[in-house]
Amino acid sequence: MKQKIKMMKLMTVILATLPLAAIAMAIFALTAATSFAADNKTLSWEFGDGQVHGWQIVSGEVGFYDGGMASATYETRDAEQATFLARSPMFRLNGGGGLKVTLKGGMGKPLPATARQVLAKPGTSKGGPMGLALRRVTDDAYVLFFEKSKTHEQTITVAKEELDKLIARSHDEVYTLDLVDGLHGGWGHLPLVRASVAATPVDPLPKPPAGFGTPARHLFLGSKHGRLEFDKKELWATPGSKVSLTLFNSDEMAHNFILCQPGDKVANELGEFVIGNLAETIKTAYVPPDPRVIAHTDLVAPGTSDTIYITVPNTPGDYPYVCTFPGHHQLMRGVLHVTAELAEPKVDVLKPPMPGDAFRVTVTDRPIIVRGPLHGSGPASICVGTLSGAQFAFDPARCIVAKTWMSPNGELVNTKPAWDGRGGNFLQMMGQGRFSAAKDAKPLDLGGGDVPPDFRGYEIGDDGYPSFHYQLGDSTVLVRVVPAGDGLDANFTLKPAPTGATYTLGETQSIGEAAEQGTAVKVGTNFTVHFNTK
Amino acid sequence: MQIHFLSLLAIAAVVSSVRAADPDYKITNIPAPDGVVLEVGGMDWMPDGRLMMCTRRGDIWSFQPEKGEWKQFASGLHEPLGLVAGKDNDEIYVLQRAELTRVTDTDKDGVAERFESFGKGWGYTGNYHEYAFGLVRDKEGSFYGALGLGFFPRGEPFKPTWCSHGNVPWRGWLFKITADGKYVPLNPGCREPNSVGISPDGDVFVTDNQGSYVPSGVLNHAEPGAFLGHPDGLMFDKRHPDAASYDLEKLNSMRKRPALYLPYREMGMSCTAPRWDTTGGKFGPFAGDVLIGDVNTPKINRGTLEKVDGQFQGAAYPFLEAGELGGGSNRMTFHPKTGALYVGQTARGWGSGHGLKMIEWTGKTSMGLQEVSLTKDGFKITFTQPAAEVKADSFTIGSWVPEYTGNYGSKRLDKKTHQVSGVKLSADGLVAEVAVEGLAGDRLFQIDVRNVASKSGGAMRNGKAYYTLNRLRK
Repeated sequence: MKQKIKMMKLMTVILATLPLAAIAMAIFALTAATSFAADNKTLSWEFGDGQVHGWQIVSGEVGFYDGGMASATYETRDAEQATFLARSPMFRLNGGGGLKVTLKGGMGKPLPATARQVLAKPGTSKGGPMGLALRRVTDDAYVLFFEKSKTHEQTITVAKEELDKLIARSHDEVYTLDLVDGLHGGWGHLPLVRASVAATPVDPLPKPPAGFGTPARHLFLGSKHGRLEFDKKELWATPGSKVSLTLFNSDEMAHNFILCQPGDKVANELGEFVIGNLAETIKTAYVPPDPRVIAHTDLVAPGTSDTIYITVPNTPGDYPYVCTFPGHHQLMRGVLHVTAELAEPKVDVLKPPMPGDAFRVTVTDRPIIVRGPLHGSGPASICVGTLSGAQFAFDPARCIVAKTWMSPNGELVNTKPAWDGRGGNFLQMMGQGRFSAAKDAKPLDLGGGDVPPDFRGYEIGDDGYPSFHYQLGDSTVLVRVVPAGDGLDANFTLKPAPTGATYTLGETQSIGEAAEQGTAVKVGTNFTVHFNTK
Repeated sequence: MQIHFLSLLAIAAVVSSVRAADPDYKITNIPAPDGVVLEVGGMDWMPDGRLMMCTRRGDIWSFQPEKGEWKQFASGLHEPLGLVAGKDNDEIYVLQRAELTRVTDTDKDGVAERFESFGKGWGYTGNYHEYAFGLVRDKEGSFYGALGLGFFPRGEPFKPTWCSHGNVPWRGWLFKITADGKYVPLNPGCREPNSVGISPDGDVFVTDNQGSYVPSGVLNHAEPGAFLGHPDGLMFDKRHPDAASYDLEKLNSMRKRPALYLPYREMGMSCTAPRWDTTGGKFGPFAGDVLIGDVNTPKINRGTLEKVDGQFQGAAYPFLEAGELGGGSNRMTFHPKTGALYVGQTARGWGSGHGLKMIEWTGKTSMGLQEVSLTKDGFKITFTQPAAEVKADSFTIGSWVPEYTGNYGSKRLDKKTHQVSGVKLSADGLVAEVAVEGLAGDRLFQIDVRNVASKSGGAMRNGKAYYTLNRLRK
């Protein structure tokens, strides 16, 4: 209630000061930096002519063959050779269409989550990433990537509807296309023949102030249309690093960006100061004269942007940022995490349906079962994707839940290694591994000695979750695994339950209160083993 | 993959080709629902007329030809390469990589819930070449399948290339699983046996793919206990505890010769499941013959079999070769009522092509070969249409010995041409008996009759045959 009244008060204040604000905007519009084109253009590149067409060779050497642009070295590779990375100019998706890419060459290999991981020294003599990715510049994340199939020439299309999802999440996000060839120990090559995307180029950023040096990274912020929020509530940087920060404003009202010293109350206090001192703070782009202000943009008018250069503080911590345009500060804020190591970005990776990507199995509205070889769970694993993102694999040879993993965006496995071309490789678990059973794990002891279990099959319930059946000695065991709480419940039924039956807890497992790994818990006809997957 | 219900109206779209279509057989492509990659591993008919297909991506789909309706019955299977319909309309048996599974729709809602591990007993490491091929059922209710060898280059103990690791049980064996789920290994000697078939008389056959110890595509009769050619399976054969010491000569003396050789390239490169024409004439003049598809080329071949000295041998002929067939003809089955041939396709990894085709006899029978069978001094050649007069030089006959070797790629040894020393044409012009000089056993004969003209003057549709002459008639 209190908050609501406060908001009302603010609105009244804003309305009263509108005429002044309008003048302020007019003044600051003149000093605002870059403007961008709002037309629906398509960016396209053709690489058949041996030119890089404005793409930056970030690492490695560029070559041209087979009608496309690729790594110069592909015939003999070893661990010492640098990953080849060619990067398109920066652009923003404009919703005018989709993305189309034509690649040639051999089968691709999975790319990691970020560009910086691709450039890190792999030190391996085999394998390595190979593919084309859509990279989000601000956190270096590979939001979308195309693992080429074995087909020699492959054109991959991402529909407009899929790009619209990205745009909806962040209207002014800045991307590049990264062509990555870090394959070692093999003959593979990946010429990029052409690429086109419904996008608008980002104008060249203004030069940093004299003496600043070269920024290591470029951060981009936008605002959410119709809502007083930045499109990103979190940014990341390393202590002492030099970055550019550009605030795009494609909204209907002006905004600013202020980076502050750590503190819970700082953003609020700055915002409230502005409201209490409108006449004064108008003159300074609504930035209060407060020593806790580290850096700030100008007041950015709608349809414009401003770029500033920041030397990130040396002290790790959480540095709030906020827009202090009157009334915006409560919602329009975020945190810059200054950490020694950049965290793996929270990537909501887009999974558009396309050839090659059909191999990535993702749960949507119903549990999914995929059967195949999975490391740690046997060559005939039964992998189950649940609706909670807690995934597991059942090994029918040992008759145990052999693996669990966590996948907030519902990914289960990448079947490409097993189902593309001749296959021959194991399914790839997608997500964060949580539990992996020991090779000789035999948690359920019914006192029958070392008799191996006999897998009998599984039955899918109305909710889509399977119950596994197996014979262990003289008993029939039924195990139904469903999401529960912070993980999964494996609900056991023994018929009959011999006296002295025990279940020995593995990592992440608990039965009732018992949660210590290695505990042999006495069990009866019905019992539940909980697997924590948080 | 997610289960979803899709209904598609019949699209009897004819894929027409620029060159002249085959006058005798019409090929129709039956498109799978949007986004479905139909890599067919097994096919069979439910009593209610639905064609059930399992795919290498782990799905089971049904197609109702009368309505043109597709529905997904199950998913989550492990690259199944064989399917047999069970009882009623709710039960399917599929052969997965590691087990024979009975899949049942217990609540009859059109989607399967129960996946029973019905039969198992063989080893599987995850190697991509360790396929479990199948699936057919005999009159006693036993299921037959055959296990491919893993691909481990330069393996032991039988050099030089193909080898399963000696400790993966039963790879390379043809097996059966009885009606009560018991696994019974039957014949060692397979390499990549895609796949088993049962003749109308109840004899079990299995094809195998060219490679080490397999000179070309072959159709083998799985005579009880016989060693079919590739030595790796002998590692589990209790009758041969010293198999690792056997040399090529010993293996060659032990192996049962194929009933049919399908010469490499002329008859495709990777032969698939044999299926006998049991349509009683609805599919044309080849009722009772066996059809064998190919993965790499748009071909289906045909075979006729006879017994000489108590053993199967016979002739192989091109049957259908058409660009619009596409590659990957993996499994075939005849519609129980119409006699149309449905071809389930997949070639991934070895070629291109997947999906479902339907082949129908147009009612026309062009001039060509009906059958080549062995006589005491030559061949009895039956034509599909009366022949005009024939002379000795109307027939071109050659032969060779397919090399049995551990190398990948077998030579055609001791190539010969054979003179025709006498010809006798029957009064109706349909049967020519040719006496052939130098007729000998353990050879493959190529018989070319393209110089024979038909009485009606029509073009010859198929004028080549390959006769596997293991034994001479006494």
